[in-house]
Amino acid sequence: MPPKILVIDDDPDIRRLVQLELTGAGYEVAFAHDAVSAMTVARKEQPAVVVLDIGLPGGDGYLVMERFRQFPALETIPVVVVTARERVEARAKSLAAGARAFLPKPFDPSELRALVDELLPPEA
Amino acid sequence: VAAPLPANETERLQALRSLEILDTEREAAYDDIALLAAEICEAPIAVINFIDADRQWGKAIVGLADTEAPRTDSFCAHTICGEDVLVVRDTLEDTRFADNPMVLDDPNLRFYAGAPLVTPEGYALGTVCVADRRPREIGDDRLAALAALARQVVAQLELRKALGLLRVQNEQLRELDRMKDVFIATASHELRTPLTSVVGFVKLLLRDRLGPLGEQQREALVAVDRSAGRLIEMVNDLLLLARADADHVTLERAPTRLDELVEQSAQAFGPNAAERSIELDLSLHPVELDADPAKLAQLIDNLVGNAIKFSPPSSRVELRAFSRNGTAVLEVEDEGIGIPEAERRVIFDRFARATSAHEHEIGGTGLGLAVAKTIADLHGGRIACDAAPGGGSVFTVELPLAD
Repeated sequence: MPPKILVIDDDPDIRRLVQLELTGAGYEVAFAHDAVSAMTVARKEQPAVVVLDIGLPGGDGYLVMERFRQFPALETIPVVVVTARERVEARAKSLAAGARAFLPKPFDPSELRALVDELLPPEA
Repeated sequence: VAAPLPANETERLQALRSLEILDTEREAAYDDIALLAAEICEAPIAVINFIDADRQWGKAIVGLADTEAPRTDSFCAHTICGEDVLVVRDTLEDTRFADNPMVLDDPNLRFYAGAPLVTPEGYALGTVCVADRRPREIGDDRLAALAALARQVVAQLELRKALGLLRVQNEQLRELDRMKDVFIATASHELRTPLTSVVGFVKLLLRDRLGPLGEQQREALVAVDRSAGRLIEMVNDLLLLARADADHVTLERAPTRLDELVEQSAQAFGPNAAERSIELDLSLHPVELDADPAKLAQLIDNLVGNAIKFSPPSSRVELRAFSRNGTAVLEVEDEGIGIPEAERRVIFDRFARATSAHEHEIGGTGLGLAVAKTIADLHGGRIACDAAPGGGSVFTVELPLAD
């Protein structure tokens, strides 16, 4: 079974972009497009890595990470934050909220894949 | 006997209130005028009074303890009903004042002379008045002087009004500026999201990840990639400038080697320089300073990129890094088209482009040097532009070694 990556982003084009990049690299990709469904999908899919946008409908990415930490099954999943928000502040807040990596938008998709490769737990 | 109300009482009170002078602290300008009134009229008492709805209030007072009194007892309430100086030579002889508590009781006023403070709009807001505890005469010269002092008080009031307006306008301008910053920050964020798709899909295509590309297709995509890159750079520049305006930039300071950053920049620009046979000449001494390495790299890139861009083929660009008197110094010197002396100071303004750049049809946004200056400023440093001995330009950046 290929490792599963959960992509949480409200922009359909960016979801498709990340999907093309990650499936091309042998990953399986699941999606959520808002903060609420993010929880449901994450618990159902049990992804190996989460790619998380910050500006989301129904609560921002920081809130999503906060909720992840409340579930033992989710709290250890490595999260890489991708956002168009101002870099210095967003990176600091993301890392404080428990993100393992931060990539400002716009990004080169291969950079994102490299980060996902890096964050992938050895057993996945 | 209480004074009648002036015909324009409602508007008069509005004009008085809008000055926001009632119950304010003492001010030297008004104190001085009261003092002059007392001296000129040789009176023990002098007051600048304003007549409020039901009281008189003294802005400046010589020789009296109380700052206010009921309007019904006010001499000045009578004065503001006319345009001329009101003189009461003996209060006991005047039916309007003979039973006034300020006459019968402390401070036992027996003489009064007051000039109304009439604004250009015709509102008598108060008076400059003098008083004495004995009946007396007052000459025409002194009455004229009292009227002149009243006009000086009105001039002060007009200044106060103008200052108040300026303050309001200033606040409105600040608000506009804040809105502009919010707009730019939002716009920059909203631009980056679609740019993520543009850049991302182009990169996928260029790596043949979505199928093999023909030569012309590849050429077209390389152009799209380059243009999108410039757009991203411009969005980043605009966002940095807007945030710097709003004081929202946080530097991520760390021990940083200026010489190493310059070397990296030179390497990155190596191909561009080589393309046009421009020689990059490095003279680097180890310089470590407390700085934000990413932002400092951006500053260096902007200067090095400019130097190459504005240089003729087969010329030289010199990059020097060294320390001098507790300052890290970076010099970027080219043999390019130069910047006319008159433009060297404004060249760091946003969207400023040298006339020489237009003449040589060299493109650019006019943001690069504004960003460079902003980054230098954020580090407590400075940046300057001079003519190089060889005819081009030399840009000098000086940054403090420690914050």
